[in-house]
Amino acid sequence: MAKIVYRRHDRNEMPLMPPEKRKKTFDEYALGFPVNVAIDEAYRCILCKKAPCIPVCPAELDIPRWIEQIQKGNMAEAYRIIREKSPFGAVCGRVCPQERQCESNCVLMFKDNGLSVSIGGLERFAADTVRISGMPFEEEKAPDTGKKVAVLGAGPAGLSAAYFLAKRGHKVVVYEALPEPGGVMRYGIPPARLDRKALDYEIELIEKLGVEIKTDHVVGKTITYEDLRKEYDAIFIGVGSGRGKTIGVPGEGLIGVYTAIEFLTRINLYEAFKFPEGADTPIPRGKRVVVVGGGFTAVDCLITSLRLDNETHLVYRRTRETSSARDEEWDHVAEEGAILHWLTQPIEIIGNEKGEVVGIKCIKMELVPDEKGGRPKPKPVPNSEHIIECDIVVQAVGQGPNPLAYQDIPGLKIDKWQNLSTVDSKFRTNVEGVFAGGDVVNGGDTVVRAIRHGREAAEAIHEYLMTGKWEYEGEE
Amino acid sequence: MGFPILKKEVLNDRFYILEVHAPHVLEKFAPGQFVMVLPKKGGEIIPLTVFKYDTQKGSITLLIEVRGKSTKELLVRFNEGDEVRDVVGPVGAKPHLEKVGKVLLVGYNYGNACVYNIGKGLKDIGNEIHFIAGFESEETALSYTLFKDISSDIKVVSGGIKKVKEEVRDFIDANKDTSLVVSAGIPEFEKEIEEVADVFEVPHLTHASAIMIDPVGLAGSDRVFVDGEVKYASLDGPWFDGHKLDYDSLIQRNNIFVDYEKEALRKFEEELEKERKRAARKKRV
Ligand SMILES: Cc1cc2nc3c(=O)[nH]c(=O)nc-3n(C[C@H](O)[C@H](O)[C@H](O)COP(=O)(O)OP(=O)(O)OC[C@H]3O[C@@H](n4cnc5c(N)ncnc54)[C@H](O)[C@@H]3O)c2cc1C
Ligand SMILES: Cc1cc2nc3c(=O)[nH]c(=O)nc-3n(C[C@H](O)[C@H](O)[C@H](O)COP(=O)(O)OP(=O)(O)OC[C@H]3O[C@@H](n4cnc5c(N)ncnc54)[C@H](O)[C@@H]3O)c2cc1C
Ligand code: SF4
Repeated sequence: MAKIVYRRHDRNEMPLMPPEKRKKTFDEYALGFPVNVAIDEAYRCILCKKAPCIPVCPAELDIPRWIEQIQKGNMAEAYRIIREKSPFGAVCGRVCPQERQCESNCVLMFKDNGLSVSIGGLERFAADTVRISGMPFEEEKAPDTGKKVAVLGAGPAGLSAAYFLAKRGHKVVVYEALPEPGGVMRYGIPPARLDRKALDYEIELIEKLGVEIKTDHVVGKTITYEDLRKEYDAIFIGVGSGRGKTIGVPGEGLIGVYTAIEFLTRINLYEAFKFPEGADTPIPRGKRVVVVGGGFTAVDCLITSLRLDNETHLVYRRTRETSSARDEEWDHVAEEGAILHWLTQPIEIIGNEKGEVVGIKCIKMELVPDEKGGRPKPKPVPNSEHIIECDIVVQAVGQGPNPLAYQDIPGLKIDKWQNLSTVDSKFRTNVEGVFAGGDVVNGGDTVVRAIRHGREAAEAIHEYLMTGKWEYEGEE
Repeated sequence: MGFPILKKEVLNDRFYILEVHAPHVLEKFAPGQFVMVLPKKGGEIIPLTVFKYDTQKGSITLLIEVRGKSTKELLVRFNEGDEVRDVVGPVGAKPHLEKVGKVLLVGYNYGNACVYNIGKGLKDIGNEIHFIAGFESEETALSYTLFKDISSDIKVVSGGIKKVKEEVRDFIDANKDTSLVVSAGIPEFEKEIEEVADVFEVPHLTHASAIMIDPVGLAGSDRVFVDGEVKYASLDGPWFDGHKLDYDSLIQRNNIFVDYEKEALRKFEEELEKERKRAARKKRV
């Protein structure tokens, strides 16, 4: 057998638009690998037999098996293997925090400070090649079972469940309140990070399997649980946990204060960045914006705000190192001109006599060790109050529950956060025939985890539909 | 997809009616609820009350006041047979309606559609309905015949908010047994009606026209303060206790985008003007 060559250090980096250029466009700034680079990168993978990258992928993609197909130049086959586990390869290749998942455990990293295979870049490459080349891509599904499933919410969890159920031969109808499907992938994550063509294509492939997506349907209003119960053999709840939260300081009612979700929805769903020429939904431009928060959402608000020609600040009460967003992303927004204020806590939003925001009053923080051994805790530094002048404050401090779709299900066990963490290991709720997954279960996580939930729930639903067995394992 | 316009009727320079095929809205519809309409891709989603409806036809009728770009565009660009892209709904809480006796509905401009709709619900459970339909001017006032099936006492009042307020005061003064006032329109108007309701100590149900961009309260643009508490107009409303709604903050928040809205309307009117000129030129040739 030939000796394995470990190419530990020559990782191909994802080509990016230069900062000056990218902050002027809502187009995607990570450009994707050209073919020769992708194939070279694929050859860095040594196709491990017991690949350590797989178990740390939340969707458990069979990574070496599809990378091998890329090595052979067989992109459709690579994409097909990805889709055995996830219908959103193009999306995940772009938005997964791979450095904390698959790429954190690649064998190439185990020695000499090696660099992992660019798994995300390759996943995106396989998916994009199939789409952009326009090659026919058909997927098989089992013969019609005659069973019908309602999926509530067209986010990654719901659409993933719909996909795997359709492949099993069940009839699936997805109910979505918004005018477009996709959930956070549509209204939250900016097109600069996720090209909508890639998203649209993967949703189309799901529809091609016969899944019907009914947008403009608010579950709990347009249609109720009782109606669904009569019409369907099982129900999957994937409505997320997406209500924008506010920071809870004085001045939140002032003109110019937004939740991150409002700010992003205007721009990403209703295309307000084209106002007034190409879209009718307004969003201020050329102002001074302060984004409050330190996660994915805060980064997306910064990316978006910079592209609207705003002077853009971030205030976060912890440090960059203790934030939940990626290091790389802070670098990117800093390169684009964002001003990052770490260890800074807002205490009041200040307005003028017309009720418009004129600034945000903050206090400096320091991190002190947590007595219980948890994350270090931020503590205010006395006499460090200061004001950052601004016109707009965007509150990116997390999302809360949105129980409208399930609050009226008789007997359903809802947890104290108003979510459905009460499901068992098979994503069953305590109500027979009703399953749930994604953010509505875990209160806010990742796209890939939502996909995994959707897939496993689909398997459990399939089992239930075929056997009629129902044994809720949670506490009654 | 899309929702076809079955009928369009221009009532005057300010108001028009669209009847839209949207059967999904009607399965669970209750008086007091509304829809959100996105006219086209790239359009702005706007809340509109279900003014009247026809379950048999699966259609809803919207009574629309021209205020800015979206309501103007719907008027000039959409005709019978065209489709509006999205009709989401029904949206809003089902208000708890009770038989209370004598009810006075007071609308102002588009608010007449809102009070008519909930008024129908109040009438159907046996209340005695009186209706003051307020308008800004005589030219833009609508005929009472539009509302006549819910009351035999309809008074059309034009000439602005203050005049409508006077009428309301006179009505309650003369009808001390009024057990509920229901008002809708811009919050500046509702605030004035609240003043009267407060003085006469009559319960007041009012309509929070907050800015809404999604039907499940995700964005929170529609947060209003009721009795000091944050509520979402699209979810908990739009109908709230008129004695408890904070009108000033609603007025403030409704003005957030005024400059942008003016710009959008101006641009659109320029576009229409250009088209008119072009058409006129063509005619001459
Ligand atoms: C701004 C932002 C950026 C993010 N960036 C990333 C990232 O880069 N990578 C990553 O992995 N994760 C990211 N996340 C997290 C990730 O998006 C979520 O974990 C994931 O989308 C959850 O999927 P879901 O399907 O459970 O819910 P959602 O995506 O929230 O979808 C739920 C859907 O249900 C619909 N719905 C809600 N109520 C009803 C109702 N009553 N009737 C009908 N439909 C209803 C909603 O409109 C929505 O479309 C981000 C989150 C945010 C907010
Ligand atoms: C629950 C509810 C029911 C309504 N019912 C009717 C009705 O039956 N008939 C009718 O003519 N009007 C109704 N309105 C008002 C209607 O939504 C606004 O007039 C419309 O959005 C104006 O849009 P525009 O683009 O034409 O004007 P713009 O110039 O964009 O706005 C004019 C004013 O309308 C308000 N507005 C703008 N965008 C929104 C939005 N997305 N949501 C709410 N308000 C907004 C703001 O106060 C703004 O200053 C209702 C409003 C609400 C909240
Ligand atoms: S661990 Fe790295 S080298 Fe091994 S299969 Fe996974 S990606 Fe390839």
